[in-house]
Amino acid sequence: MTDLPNPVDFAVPGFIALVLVEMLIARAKDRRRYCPKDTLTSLMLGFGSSIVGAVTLGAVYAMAVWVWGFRLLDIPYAWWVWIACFVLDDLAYYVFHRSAHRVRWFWASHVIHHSSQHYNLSTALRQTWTGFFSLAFLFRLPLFLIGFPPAMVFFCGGLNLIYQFWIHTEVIGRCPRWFEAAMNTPSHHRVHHATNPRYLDRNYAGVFIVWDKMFGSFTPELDEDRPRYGLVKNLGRFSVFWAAFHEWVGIAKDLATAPWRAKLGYAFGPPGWSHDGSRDTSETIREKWAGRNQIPLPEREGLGVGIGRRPSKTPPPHVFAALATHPQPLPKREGSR
Amino acid sequence: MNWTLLAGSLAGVLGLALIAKLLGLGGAELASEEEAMRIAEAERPGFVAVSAVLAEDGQSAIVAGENGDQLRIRRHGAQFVAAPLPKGEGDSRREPRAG
Repeated sequence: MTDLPNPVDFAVPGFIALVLVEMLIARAKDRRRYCPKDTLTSLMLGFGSSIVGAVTLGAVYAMAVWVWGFRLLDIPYAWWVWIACFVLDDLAYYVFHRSAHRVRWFWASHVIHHSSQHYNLSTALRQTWTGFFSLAFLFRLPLFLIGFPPAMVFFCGGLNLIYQFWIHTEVIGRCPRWFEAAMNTPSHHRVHHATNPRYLDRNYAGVFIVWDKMFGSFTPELDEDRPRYGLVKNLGRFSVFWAAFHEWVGIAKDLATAPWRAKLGYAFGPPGWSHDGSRDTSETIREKWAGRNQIPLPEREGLGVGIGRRPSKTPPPHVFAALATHPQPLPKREGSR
Repeated sequence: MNWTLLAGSLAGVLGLALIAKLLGLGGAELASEEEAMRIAEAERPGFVAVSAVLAEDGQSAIVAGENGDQLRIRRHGAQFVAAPLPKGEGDSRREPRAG
């Protein structure tokens, strides 16, 4: 089997250099874009993730090779295969990433990446420690079953990760229109990291934003509604271990105390789901926001969210297009009213 | 595992955090009651702020909601986070900290 290097290893010096450049820009323009403690937390999470990844790589690779043994096609190392592999791997990433936001079990692993209230290049390196435990690698298995060689798939996955580094920045506003139309960009990904109700659980793409447009999860960034970053309930501390494990602790507590009929929902329902409706999901947050801001009825119905306790269907794209035409930033106010 | 890469990465991590500190990055201060109310509403979905009192140093605030509930806003690095105040606790804090 062909042995390929991990492209991320070669990119690490570039990551460090670009973070440094962004810090210098922050010093010149807005010092609040970086916080030393937040940066250290992000980078230590990335460092820990690389160690865990190295330890579990063998098991993941062995499983990939085992599945590849049942492949449907014998796929050669041809140039067009590389392109197909990269594109399909990005589609697999989209499916994984969407699940990582819609299923609490996967969210417990992915939440690390969203736990910073900052959005800078160091945030890109804030990566999971529990990806293997959450079984996230399952999403790539279909590629091996089709017949793409495991080494090729993992190489493409590394390129995908490298691409996603540069989009974690506020330094770049909008890219050329043609690029914004097809590719994931800083603007699109700022939406993904935002906690504004309008932006929650949108733009799951890795490299190609076309997946979000195809599957109805795309929302453009609006100048009138600047993204706020972090979690719906921010952690409020710079603990590497709490960032890595807090949602798993939450799941364990809920599984211990929830009624039997609700236990599965706390593990595999959407984040924020509760059997008594006492918590907020992305849908209920968006519904309340839409109500408060008097989003027109057709669009609110189209949101289809927060009804009952079950996860709802993703709203169709036209709903978010309509929301985009009714920007409702918080009104300016006096000190009290 | 590539130990050289690992050691280099750790040095990079610690070096970048140190540089961020040396560059004087971070820091935050609440500029107004309005800002405190905006943060409260952003931090807690459904919370509707009606008034706010800032601490003198601008590092925290207490924001009252339309339902009588109160949030304490405090600085967390270069950002702010909100946490609910137990009923009644905010009143005793408000007077001395009003800015």
